[in-house]
Amino acid sequence: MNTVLSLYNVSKIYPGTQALSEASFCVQKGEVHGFLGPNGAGKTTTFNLISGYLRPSSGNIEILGKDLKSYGKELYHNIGILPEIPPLYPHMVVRDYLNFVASIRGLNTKLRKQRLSYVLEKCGLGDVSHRLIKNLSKGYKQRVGMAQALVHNPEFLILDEPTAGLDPIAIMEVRKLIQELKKDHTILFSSHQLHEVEQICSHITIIQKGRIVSSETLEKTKRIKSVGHNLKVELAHWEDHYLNSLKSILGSCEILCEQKQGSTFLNIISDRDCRSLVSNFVITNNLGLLGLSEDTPNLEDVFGKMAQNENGFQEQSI
Amino acid sequence: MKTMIFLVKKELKDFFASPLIYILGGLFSLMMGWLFFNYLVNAQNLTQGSLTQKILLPFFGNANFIFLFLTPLITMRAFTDEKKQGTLALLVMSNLTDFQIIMGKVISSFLVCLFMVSTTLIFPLILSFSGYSDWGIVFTSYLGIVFSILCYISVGVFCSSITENHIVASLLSFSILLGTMLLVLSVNATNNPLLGEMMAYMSVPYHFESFLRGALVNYHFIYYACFIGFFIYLTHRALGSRRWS
Repeated sequence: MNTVLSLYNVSKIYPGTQALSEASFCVQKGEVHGFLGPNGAGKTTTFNLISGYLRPSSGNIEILGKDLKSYGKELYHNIGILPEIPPLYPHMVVRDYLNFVASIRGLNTKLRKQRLSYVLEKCGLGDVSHRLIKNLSKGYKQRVGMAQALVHNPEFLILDEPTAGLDPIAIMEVRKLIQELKKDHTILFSSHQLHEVEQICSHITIIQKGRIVSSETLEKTKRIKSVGHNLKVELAHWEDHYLNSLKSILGSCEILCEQKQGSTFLNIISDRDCRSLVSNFVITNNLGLLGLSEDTPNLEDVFGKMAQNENGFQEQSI
Repeated sequence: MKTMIFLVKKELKDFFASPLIYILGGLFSLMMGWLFFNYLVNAQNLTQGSLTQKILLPFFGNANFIFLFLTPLITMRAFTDEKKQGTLALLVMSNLTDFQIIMGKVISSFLVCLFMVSTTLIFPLILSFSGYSDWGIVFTSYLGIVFSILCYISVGVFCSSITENHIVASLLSFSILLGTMLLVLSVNATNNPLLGEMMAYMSVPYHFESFLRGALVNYHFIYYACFIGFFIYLTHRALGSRRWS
């Protein structure tokens, strides 16, 4: 069984608002799947539906090949959830809190002890295990939240914006932890930090105003939704008449030319890969190639393009 | 069941880690001590009536009335805090069923109230030194208090399940409880004996008074069970409302 999570045309309607509209995507076993979208796009609603905390208005959700409706409490043996605001009891000591969470998730005393020491070590909570949660920093509270999601050793982890509101060091630590966890768990991970998703995830689902815009591998998402090939060329010699010759070779493209510090910089934006054509042209005309590189689009570009594209993403209201 | 015990233990720890319970407990003990002393002193001046009538009946009546004010303060945090902290999802996404979560809250609040009631055991003990021996009345009075407290707790837990605000929860439960208490007084306002009887039957103090008299009749137990069951059912519905699609 390779598919851990499947959503089929899942919709959620709150009174007066369609929070999720016919969302469909899959998460495969072993993936770190990024769930990307701006604030209010429907990420948390989707997570609440997946975790069974809310019920969808229509559509089906399958977890580990089984319909969510047919699950009883055993669903929570298979999934671990870290909500956006970690569910913590501020007046409890870290160790007692994790012990309580493990207890209500049905772990026996022996297993509880084992898992407790594992998550304390894994989440770097050893030093603060006897401290009250309310006295911990935000970064540590997030770690405790992560530990509670892990304590019963679920196969599937759902992390809702785990780095939101953390300082850069804490963000790096959480990222490192997620990288470690991906060895043993399938992770669905939401964020609106695009570069973060790019660093951690192998697959990405993009949600916008309650609709799934794209659900592909990271590379495919970038390629499909890319703003075009952007080739940067640095030349030692250049004359203006070369411009028309180059345009006639490349076909439909946009060429920007700039002189800087004795060199000529060409920025060629084309809808196809034209590196070999450009390099041939430069060599044939002996233009003195100093540099040639293609800018790969990052997620910011992709997401910015999607955000601009309002077609089909009109706010749903009933 | 075992999982629910973990929740009860955690709730009790929370209760006893909070200063609120000690303030309420201290206040309750002070009031009960003062009332007992007052009734004891007055009993010397009264020539008629037994110690039960002169001291214990008004004493237990007042204890019941004081709990009407205390239980909303004890139960106001039952679900409001869970909702505010986001920990309700933690409980829901565990082995605990909604019913077990509610019962965990009810039982822990009840045990806290029982702890407060236990401080009053010293008063019948003091009376026993002067030869008091009507322990049957003492037992039924405590039983009545216990059932009344369970009613108050079920209302309080329900009110905390429908709001995120402590004050709203406590005021709402206090209003409902006072409303059921005032039903007894409304009986005097009607000339219809059947309606009067029905209204009296619906109020908690009407049934509690029977326990004070030592009259354990099955319909009182049925009333208490229905009252508690009804509000637990409402709480269950309120908790389940998140799943309404």
